[in-house]
Amino acid sequence: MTSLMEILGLVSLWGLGLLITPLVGSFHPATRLGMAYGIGTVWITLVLGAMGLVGLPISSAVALPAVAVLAVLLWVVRRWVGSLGQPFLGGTDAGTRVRTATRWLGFGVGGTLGLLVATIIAALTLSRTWIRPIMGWDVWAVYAVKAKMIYATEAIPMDLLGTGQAPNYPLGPPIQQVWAALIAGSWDEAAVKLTVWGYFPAVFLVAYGILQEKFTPARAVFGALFVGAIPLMVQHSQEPYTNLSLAYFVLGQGVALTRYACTRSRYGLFVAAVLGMGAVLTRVEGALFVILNALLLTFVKMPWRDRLVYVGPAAVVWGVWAAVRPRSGFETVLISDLSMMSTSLDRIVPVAASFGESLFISGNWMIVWTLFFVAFLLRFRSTFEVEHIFLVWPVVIYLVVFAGIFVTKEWMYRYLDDQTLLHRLILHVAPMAALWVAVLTCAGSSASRAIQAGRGETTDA
Amino acid sequence: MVMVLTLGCVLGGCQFFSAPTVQDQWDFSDEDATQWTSPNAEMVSFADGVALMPRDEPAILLSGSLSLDLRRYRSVRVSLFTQRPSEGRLGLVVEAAGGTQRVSLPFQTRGGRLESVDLDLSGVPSGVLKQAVVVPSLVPQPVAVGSIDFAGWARLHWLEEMVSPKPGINLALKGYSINFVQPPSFNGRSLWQWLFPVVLGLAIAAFGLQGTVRWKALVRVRATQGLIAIWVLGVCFLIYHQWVALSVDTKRFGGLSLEQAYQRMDGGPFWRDLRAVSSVATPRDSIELILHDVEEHKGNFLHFRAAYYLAPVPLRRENATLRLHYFADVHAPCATVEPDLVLLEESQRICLFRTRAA
Repeated sequence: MTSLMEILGLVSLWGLGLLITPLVGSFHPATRLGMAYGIGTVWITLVLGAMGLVGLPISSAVALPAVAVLAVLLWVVRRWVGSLGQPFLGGTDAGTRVRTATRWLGFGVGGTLGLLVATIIAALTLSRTWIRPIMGWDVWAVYAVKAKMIYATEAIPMDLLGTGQAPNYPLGPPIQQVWAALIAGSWDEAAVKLTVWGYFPAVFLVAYGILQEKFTPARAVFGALFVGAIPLMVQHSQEPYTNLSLAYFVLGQGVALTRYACTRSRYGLFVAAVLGMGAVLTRVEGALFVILNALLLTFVKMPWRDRLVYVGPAAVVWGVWAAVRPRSGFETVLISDLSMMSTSLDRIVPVAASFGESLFISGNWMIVWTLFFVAFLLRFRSTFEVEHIFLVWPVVIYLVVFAGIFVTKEWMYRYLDDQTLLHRLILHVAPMAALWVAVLTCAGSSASRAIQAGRGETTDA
Repeated sequence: MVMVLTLGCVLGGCQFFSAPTVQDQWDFSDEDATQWTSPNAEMVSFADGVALMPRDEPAILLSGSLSLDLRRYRSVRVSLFTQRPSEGRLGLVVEAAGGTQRVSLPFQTRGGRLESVDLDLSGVPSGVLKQAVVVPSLVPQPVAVGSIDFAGWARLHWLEEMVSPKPGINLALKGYSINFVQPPSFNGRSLWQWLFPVVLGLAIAAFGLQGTVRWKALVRVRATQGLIAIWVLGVCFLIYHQWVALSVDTKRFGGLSLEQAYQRMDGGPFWRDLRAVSSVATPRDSIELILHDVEEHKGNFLHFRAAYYLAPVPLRRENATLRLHYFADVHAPCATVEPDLVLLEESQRICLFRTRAA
């Protein structure tokens, strides 16, 4: 029974997300399923967070019915938006999808093997999540302590931030853990950790759907593994930090904005806005990606109203968070971060060396990042096209920004030798970089096969 | 050996830092992978995240009794941390044909980071390794030892760990391990370092050769296939390590109640003691935790755990309504610890006082 309730906590996030995923529009069903998880977590965080702010008890008796009722209301709104909002949202491009997009079967031997590998990875990491108690280190400990306090007091105490080592971390992950505990009926470590594990299938599904719209199921499976499996195994299964969660929201935004930019259907824009909120709710760095994407939307000349639709929700979330933090005695992130800047340039070489080592001499990341940067240089012009820009440039700019932060911020520089930090920061953009690489590789391979198939049409130079 | 030990003792005091993870990796002859969870269970459990923590004084790592046939090995890799550049020693006691021989292998460390030192065993007499001693630094400074791996043919360090009965221990024990999966190592360089030029070449071929010319297309396909093959190899390594890590977790925590799991992790009944504190404190209280007879790195660990166990009662550095003294060892009567404060709770390891009203 306990295990059932633990799983129910995980599944409920998907269920809530699925209520509004039709707004995702024309995405492949797998992508919609993957995005549903993020939308569900954002929904939970917003509702429970708002309850905490207005002083309503975050208890089973109040929170669960409130979330359910509001979800039904949202479903009604979704129906309303589906009919009345059509002129604003625009049409879908369902008719333009390739035929294989609706095929779930037909994986072939290779695809079946890939699915088997994905299942093994999911089973291994899921088992560890279940067996291993919360170890109590670093960010996870901070989050878990906060979540436990919210759960026990049925409120978000104003002195909550002072209890952790990282007061500037948003409350999204703790609130999601509280939700899992509420569903489980007690403070259940397996339940709260499962909410983090859920990001692996979510990332996998998002990537699979995107790739399957263009390529065969077998290639899509391998591509999705390339995108989702490595980050999960190297990070999440060790101890559920929040880096994989942020990586998921970053990936989701890139995918959704690419769809929006290519089709001008605002369904993608809406999803990107929701996932942008998720990024800001998950980690402070999430705001950076929203800003970057807003700049890129400007670059590709999207209407200001659309940019506002994308940035607005995330800005509201960030604003509320920035307003709440000083009430607990903490400065806003921007002020505290700027106060620790230094201009020492002799750190450039060691920072570059550490970044290079982390990117290119770390197992499978070596393949991801080598391919990414080679493709970036060789296909530089195409990176500005709308099909690529939201998958490539946030990655590049983010890495440059963080390299700059390592150079200019004393306390960050001290952590340079602690490669766990560097790896976790790089992880935020690794799935998106891998997705771009997978798209290019599959496309190149497909073209090659087509050429090989039609040998009569090819000629030697 | 005696010389090394004596030198270490003179320079830094005899701090015998017995790290079970290291002993485990040495114990290749042990076929029972469950043994490492006992009798050193608490020690190993507490090693979560602290095995690599630097100590405040020079440390000497002593092995237990070994039985390692050195003829199988060509090199040994010591992974260690020193704060500053220094000279260290690896001492080996070898039972050779001519009797017991002692060998000292010197090495240099750059300092400031965790680093690996590869030492050639070609000059070491053939025989059975009975004992080993690591002195990370000959000068007093914070040091730590991460692992010791012996390598045989082609200096494949990682494979030696793989064929040992307890591979993947570091990965399993360190909650903060991220992308630290050790690849096979050839002549002091990891497999990934050797493969990087290959991957770079394949990547350039895969993305650089464009157009419809047949040979370019074929090279592109082959390059992509090569990259996929290397990627699959890496995935296999990762799955293997995760499988091992899962088995380690299962052996440590499988079938245990939450209290037993916490006890194994904390190295004592910390959770049970703090539950007694929780029953006395109210949510309006706050607690100042003072640890006695606890080493610094363990103290940080216990502070994390205490914050988690005591929630929703927050831990405060100062101005708390309650003051909790936690004693790792036998302690004086609580009434003598804080004679001016009101004693709320007293037990074998704790004294809880009220400093002011909540």
